[in-house]
Amino acid sequence: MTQLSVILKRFRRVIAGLVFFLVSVAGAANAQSTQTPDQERQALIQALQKRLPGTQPGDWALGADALAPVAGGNVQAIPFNAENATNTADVLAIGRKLWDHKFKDGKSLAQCFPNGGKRVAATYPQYDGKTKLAITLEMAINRCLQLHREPEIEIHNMPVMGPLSAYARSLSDGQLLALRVGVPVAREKLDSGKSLFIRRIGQQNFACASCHVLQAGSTLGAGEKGGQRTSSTILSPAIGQATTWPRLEPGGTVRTLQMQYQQCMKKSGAEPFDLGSEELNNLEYYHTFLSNGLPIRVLAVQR
Amino acid sequence: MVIIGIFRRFGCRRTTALIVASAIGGAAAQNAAVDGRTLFQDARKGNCVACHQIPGGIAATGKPNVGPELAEIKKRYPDRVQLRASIWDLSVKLTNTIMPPYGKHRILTEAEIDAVVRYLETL
Repeated sequence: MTQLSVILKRFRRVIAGLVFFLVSVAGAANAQSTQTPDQERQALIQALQKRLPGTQPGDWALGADALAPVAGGNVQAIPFNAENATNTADVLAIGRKLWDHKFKDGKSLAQCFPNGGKRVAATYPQYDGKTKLAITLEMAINRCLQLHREPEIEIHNMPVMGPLSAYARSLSDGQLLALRVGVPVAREKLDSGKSLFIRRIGQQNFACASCHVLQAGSTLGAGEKGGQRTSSTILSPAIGQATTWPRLEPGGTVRTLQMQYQQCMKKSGAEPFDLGSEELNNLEYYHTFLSNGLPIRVLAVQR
Repeated sequence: MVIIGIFRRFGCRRTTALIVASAIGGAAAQNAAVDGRTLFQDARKGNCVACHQIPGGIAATGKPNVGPELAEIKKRYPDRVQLRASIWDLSVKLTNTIMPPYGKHRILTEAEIDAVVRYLETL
């Protein structure tokens, strides 16, 4: 016994490390294999309802400000004003022009998608069997351009891709998100997105889930930055967030969901992944899947 | 500066360096003591006000409730070491905490953490 205790003492750090590793692996394996994606989503809904009693996913999709009465905060909502409404119409008009623009071969983006693109966005991102990747709506737009030998639009070219993405989604306005996770490889992509969603990153050590699951509904207070007061806000739940993108910036420019991921990563003190990277595509796949069953609302002006 | 000039003239560079260093160090320590509250509020530094309410409330709008209200700190943390350790890396005690590890990830310097601790003890 004495010898055993000496050995245990000598290798206690190694043993502790091994136990920690095994528990982590077991935990990760458990998170990936025992439940279907839908079961996992339902479990998440229940966990969020414990934080926000008496609310439904449909309420969460209305944005953080709409949760103010439940969260007990006194956060002011951003008013939806005429200026924003005008911008919305302008942005969609630009997008529509690009969508219907005839290629050199006489085809158009509208002809690349079933029903001219109506009710298509509700299934994106989706797993693509040919490339074995989760592809976003913006990638699908570029594929169409590629197919018809037209120059592709860079994902971060927001003056062009922003309105196009917004218009393509507007053709599914009100449609319920219905992302599919069919084959096991699709599940792998979904889980890869989930692992980034729950991974702590950067100097601040935040994960997406830190704020939007563990602290969903909590109020962030105002601080000071460069002599200016920052505004307070309510942390919105992860479910419902993906329904309202792209959004309009106060200045009228378009912002995509992946740009929001980048902003969160920067806030966490991490170097963000590139727009259109496999990491962000998988994250968008998982994060949008969480909002399955909720209606798409394009260019919403909300937090 | 006159004194430093005299030391320089007589070739006492090392002594000069020590005097200058101690003067700078003293000023830094004093600044740190003064700046605990500033660090607490500054969004680029502690940004503690984002998550914690304090008595009287610094926040103009919205009552932060991510973390507990920071009141009667000396009663709650009679041991300063425990308080400091919580700021340095709370995840040691609370695995799921979303509080950034201010010391471990060098968000604040050790001196800045000391300043925040001193400020907290006034709450």
